[in-house]
Amino acid sequence: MSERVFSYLLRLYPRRFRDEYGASMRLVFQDRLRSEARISGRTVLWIAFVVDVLKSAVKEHLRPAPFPHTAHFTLSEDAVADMVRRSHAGHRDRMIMWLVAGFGAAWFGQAPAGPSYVVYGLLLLLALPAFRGFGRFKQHWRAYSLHLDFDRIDELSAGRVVRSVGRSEISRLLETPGFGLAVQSLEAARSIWIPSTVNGYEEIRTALEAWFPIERMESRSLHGLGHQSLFGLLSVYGAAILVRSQNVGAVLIAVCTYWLIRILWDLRSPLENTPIPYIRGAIALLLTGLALKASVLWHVL
Amino acid sequence: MPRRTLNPLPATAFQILLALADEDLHGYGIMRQVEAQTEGSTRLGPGTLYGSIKTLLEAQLIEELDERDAPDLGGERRRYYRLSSSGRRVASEEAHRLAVALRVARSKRILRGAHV
Repeated sequence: MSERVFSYLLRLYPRRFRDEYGASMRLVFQDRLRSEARISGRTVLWIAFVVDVLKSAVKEHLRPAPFPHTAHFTLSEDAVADMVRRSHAGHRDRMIMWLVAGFGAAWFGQAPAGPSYVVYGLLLLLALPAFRGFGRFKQHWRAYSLHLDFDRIDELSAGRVVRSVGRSEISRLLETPGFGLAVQSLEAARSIWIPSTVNGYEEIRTALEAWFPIERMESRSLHGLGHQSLFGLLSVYGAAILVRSQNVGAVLIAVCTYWLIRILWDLRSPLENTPIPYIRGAIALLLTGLALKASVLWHVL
Repeated sequence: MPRRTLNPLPATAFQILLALADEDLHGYGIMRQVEAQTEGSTRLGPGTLYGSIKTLLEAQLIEELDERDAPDLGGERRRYYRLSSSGRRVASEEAHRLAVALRVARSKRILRGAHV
């Protein structure tokens, strides 16, 4: 009889709470009832139970839902196409542009043909992964999905968990407006990238913000400044060395200076806690210095 | 988000943290311990108990352990809870806050008798 009445009382709670704690509450209720032998004591206990249930059931109904309790997020076909257009295709196009610009400068500067072919042939080989990875890039994001649980976020590829970061393991949340959100953990390999094009991005963001404060970064390329700029720099450097003219030297100095400024700007709030941005900065500084020196020498000679 | 509901720490939540300070306990164990440590003045009902447990779990002040046999309840399987390191820190801060209030109450002769 007591059991049945208690079961009815349990129905006053929200289903989620009942599913989670109903069985435990019933056990505690039985234990407490067993500890009271006298009828009067049991009556007092029953009154206390009913009051407790009424009060706590109202509280549970008013408790904000821990959204999303568990939810699954994917990228639509349009979102993948958009990512390809914005990042991968853009990356590839910029590589082509740098190659054409460098080779064009060497060609019109009447650089020796043999060395020009060798230099730009090597640069083309360096650029090949940007062309080859096109299909893989698409495939990767098509298979990508996120699973947000009460206290962890998982990145899945074709339904298999590839990375997982617990709420207590988050070391940093970095949002690049228009691009997405990086969930960084103490282990760099376990960090998760959430593109802003994923379905329900705002909902994920709200849930993660409740776990950890989000830092906002200024917009920057998904592929980072490093690869593309280094490639561009090599391409212009190649032309400058092959032609050895003041005009190409000036372009080289301009590119080097731009690269150096961007790296120094990014160093204000580096994306990762590694020495890589500083190494890039040192290389940029060295290359700018060399370009300046070479340009002055060409002018003098 | 849940931490917001624990600032200030409710008396029930503080009592549960204190109950778990010495040992891992199941729900009924927490209920009895709270009753004992408050000298019978706080008797938690099942709804208040598990509502507070849920809040403390969400705030990561306590951790849920695997189900295991409860020797004090004839070996029945129960869900056990443990105080987390952040839970211990929060309980310590609350105890310190109360100690300061107690000292003020004593100095102003608000609190007298056996407590002094």
